[in-house]
Amino acid sequence: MAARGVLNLVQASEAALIIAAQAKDQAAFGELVKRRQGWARALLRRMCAGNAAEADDLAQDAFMKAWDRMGDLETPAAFAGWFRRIAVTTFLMAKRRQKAIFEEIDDASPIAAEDSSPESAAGAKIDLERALARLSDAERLCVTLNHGEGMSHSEIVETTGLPLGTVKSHVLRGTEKLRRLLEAA
Amino acid sequence: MNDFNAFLTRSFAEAEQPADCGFSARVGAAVARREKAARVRSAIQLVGVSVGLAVAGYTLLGFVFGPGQEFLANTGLEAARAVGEFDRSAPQVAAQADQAAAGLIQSLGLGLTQILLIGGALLGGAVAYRSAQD
Repeated sequence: MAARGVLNLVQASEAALIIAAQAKDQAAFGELVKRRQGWARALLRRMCAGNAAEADDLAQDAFMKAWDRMGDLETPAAFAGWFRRIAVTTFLMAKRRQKAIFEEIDDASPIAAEDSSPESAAGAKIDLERALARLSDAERLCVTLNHGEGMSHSEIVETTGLPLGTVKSHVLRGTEKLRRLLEAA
Repeated sequence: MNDFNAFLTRSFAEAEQPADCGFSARVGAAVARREKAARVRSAIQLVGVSVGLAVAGYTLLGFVFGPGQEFLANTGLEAARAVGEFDRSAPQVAAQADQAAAGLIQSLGLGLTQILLIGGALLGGAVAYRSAQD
């Protein structure tokens, strides 16, 4: 009987799992976590500059918050965006606890400095994750949400609470830095 | 730049996702612990509120059937004495009320104990409720 239940859970659609999780079905939520953990952890690892342990802790926090707030989710189709917002908020809260300042554009390191880095000079291979790690926290967040998650500037503003001008600047500067870093690799 | 943007978007999409490696199990265990803790808190809250209500009800009943009656009687006599003070036509009632005034203070003292008990029970219930919410 239990084996059949597990089989049904595995075969269930994500919408069905979400509806069951909203009814406080822990097994359904567990299956939902299994399906979404890769995406959620990859997103947070990028935001955390590749710090896997920190990203996994934040991902667990985000899933716990999602469990507590499942009732707030209006439709199963909105789960991805809804969870992404929880993940970003969890990340921002953690960074604010660490006194990282997101509102200031000046936290970004100068673009020109990247070309003279030892990695570029040595012609070391820099993949996307490593290149992202070279950006400032705010740049990395905005670039990840824009290019990685396909969010528009206004959606990033809504999710992060950063001013529109700041978001545009972070995306532009971050993208330009990535271009230089990846071309140099 | 547009080509690079497309390349970047593709790179993000093609990036590998981390393997589960027990992550889902850890989240599942954390959810189970939280639900268990919530059930315990709920039970403690229920017991706390029930005990608080029982103590408050018992104290209230004790007050109504004990010093409450005396209190009401004394209040009535006090009212009569007050009326008598204004209306000198009832000196006997006023004299009785004077005697009862001392009894009123006594009954208030007894009542105060009951009031403190009710207050303590309500406060205890509130603290239990608040801690359960946290």
